[in-house]
Amino acid sequence: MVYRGCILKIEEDFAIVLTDQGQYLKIIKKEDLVVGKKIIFVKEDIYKDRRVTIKNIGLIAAVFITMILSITGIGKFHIVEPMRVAAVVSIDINPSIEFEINEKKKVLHVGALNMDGEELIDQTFIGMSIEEAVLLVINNAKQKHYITKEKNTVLIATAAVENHFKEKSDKLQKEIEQKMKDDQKLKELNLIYVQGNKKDLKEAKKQKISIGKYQVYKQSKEKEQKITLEQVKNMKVQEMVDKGIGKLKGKKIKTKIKEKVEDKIKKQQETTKEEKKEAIKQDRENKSKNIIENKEKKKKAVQIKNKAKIDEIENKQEEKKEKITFNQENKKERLENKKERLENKKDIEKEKREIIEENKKEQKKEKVEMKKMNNEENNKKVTKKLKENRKTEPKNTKETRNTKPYKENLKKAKKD
Amino acid sequence: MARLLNFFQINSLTAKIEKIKKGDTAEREKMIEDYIPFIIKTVSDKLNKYIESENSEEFSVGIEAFNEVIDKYEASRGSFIGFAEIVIKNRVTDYLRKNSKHRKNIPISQFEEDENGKLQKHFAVEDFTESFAMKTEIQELEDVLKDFKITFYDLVQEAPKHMDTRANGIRIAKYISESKELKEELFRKKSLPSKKLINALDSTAKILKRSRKFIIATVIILDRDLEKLRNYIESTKGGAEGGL
Repeated sequence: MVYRGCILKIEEDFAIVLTDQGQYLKIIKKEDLVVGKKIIFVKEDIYKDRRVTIKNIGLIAAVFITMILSITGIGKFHIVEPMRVAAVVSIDINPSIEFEINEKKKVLHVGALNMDGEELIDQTFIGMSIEEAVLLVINNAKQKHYITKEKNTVLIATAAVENHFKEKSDKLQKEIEQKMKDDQKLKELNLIYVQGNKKDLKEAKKQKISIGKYQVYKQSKEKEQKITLEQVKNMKVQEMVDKGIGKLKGKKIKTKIKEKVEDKIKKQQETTKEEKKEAIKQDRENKSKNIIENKEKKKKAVQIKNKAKIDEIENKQEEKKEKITFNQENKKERLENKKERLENKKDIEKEKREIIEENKKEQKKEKVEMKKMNNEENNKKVTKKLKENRKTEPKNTKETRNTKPYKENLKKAKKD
Repeated sequence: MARLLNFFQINSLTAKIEKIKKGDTAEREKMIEDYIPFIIKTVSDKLNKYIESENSEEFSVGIEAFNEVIDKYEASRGSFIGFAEIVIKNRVTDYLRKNSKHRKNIPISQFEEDENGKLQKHFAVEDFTESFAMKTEIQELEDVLKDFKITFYDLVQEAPKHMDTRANGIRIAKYISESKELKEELFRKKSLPSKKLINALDSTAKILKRSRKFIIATVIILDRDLEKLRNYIESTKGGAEGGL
């Protein structure tokens, strides 16, 4: 279609044209546009409004918000069903099945971990609440005779992926249990609950084993039961319970609430009675034990005392004997010593005497000689003294004048 | 299914071209007429300029090029439209080059003496005065519309989209402009004398309300001595249908 028009006004983004049909239109701008010019144009030249209306703003804002929410995961508003896996729930009968659920406990993903499991599941589980899904699985298992009167153990495990779901998992467990109880058909089911954490979940995934079975394996390891992971993997849950692997203890569920209440009361009573009995028994046992123990102790004590006394006596006797012998020996030794000493004394005295005698003899000789020598010397001295006395008398007078003898001595030295 | 239809179309197109090539002139003219919007679009895209009239040189170049396309086209050359677009654009560029060369080669002294140039100048002046008159008229229209608090932009948004309602609007506007009383009331009150119009023309209040701005604008164009615009409207189809 060809439009003919007259340009009325030129704006920034477009021009306004009055067409020959009496239409007022906006057209895209091209070169050489002048007001009043008559032009020919086609449909493609008509300007399309890209105005931002409130509606558009709203739409854009909505898109942005959803994007931000989905990216940052501020899922508190829950406008869209959260798609993140918050927890994993596994069911083991013999078939192993694993559900991945989101925060709202809706099933996001179903997976079978063995061949039997695949028979029980299909994609209709997705979107179901976890309680219903568990119930359906158990019902399916019942129909296919995985659960019978003898084999009635179901192992249910939960593992929180997101941290804040941990608190919810206890609640979830209770809810599932409640759901089981409400169902009339599921009488006498032996439900076992296990809880795992993120780490266990990873490890379990690595080994391609259900989180429930992995937990059992872990428990068995703690109890130091010798079982390999492979064995646990292939074992039926019923077998595990029968063999008492891990901490598996069955809980029996009865359907009617009255029964439950009665049961509870009975159980409580029983437990209290048992407790009391046990307490009494324990008391008695303790007392008897104490008595026996006391007696034994006393006996032991007496025995020990007796022994000790005998020992002491023996010891004393021995000691006495030893002392006596020792004394005797000592006396002998002393006597011997005395004899020796006496002998020694005699010897010494002899020697002393000899020495003394010798000394006396020598001393006498020396004295004699000395006397002789002294006498001779004395004689000489006396003679010398006499001579000297005669000579020194004049000298002494000279010496009193002091200097003269000194000069004379000098003269004598020079002459020498 | 769409592919099948497409196949048939291509078939019919090639058949048509075959027919034209054999010398069917009526068919040729019809085909060119069918493709005129396409030709206008490609030419104006190439020029980045709106074609001013069917007598403009650029447009005739486009049509000639298209004529050439019909003769030259063969099915082996790909799609007809694509081929035609390339050929037309090439011809237009050829034309532009020639034109610019021609212009460059004319010295000013020669231009003065050139009769042709004089004529062109004369035409240009006339063209200018005409467009100037048009411009002033449009300016006046805008000013008067301002008194009614109407802009061209409003007219684009609110003017009736259907040809029939527009024709009806023009008819009402003509009735107003012919009656002095109604006209004065309109300019005094700055609003349409709805009651009288409803009685006289047995139109509804809804129509009057919806195309109020369009009617007022048309009245102004018809009433004021906006001769050129008036001529323009009167000469157009809408005007003819509106009974002008």
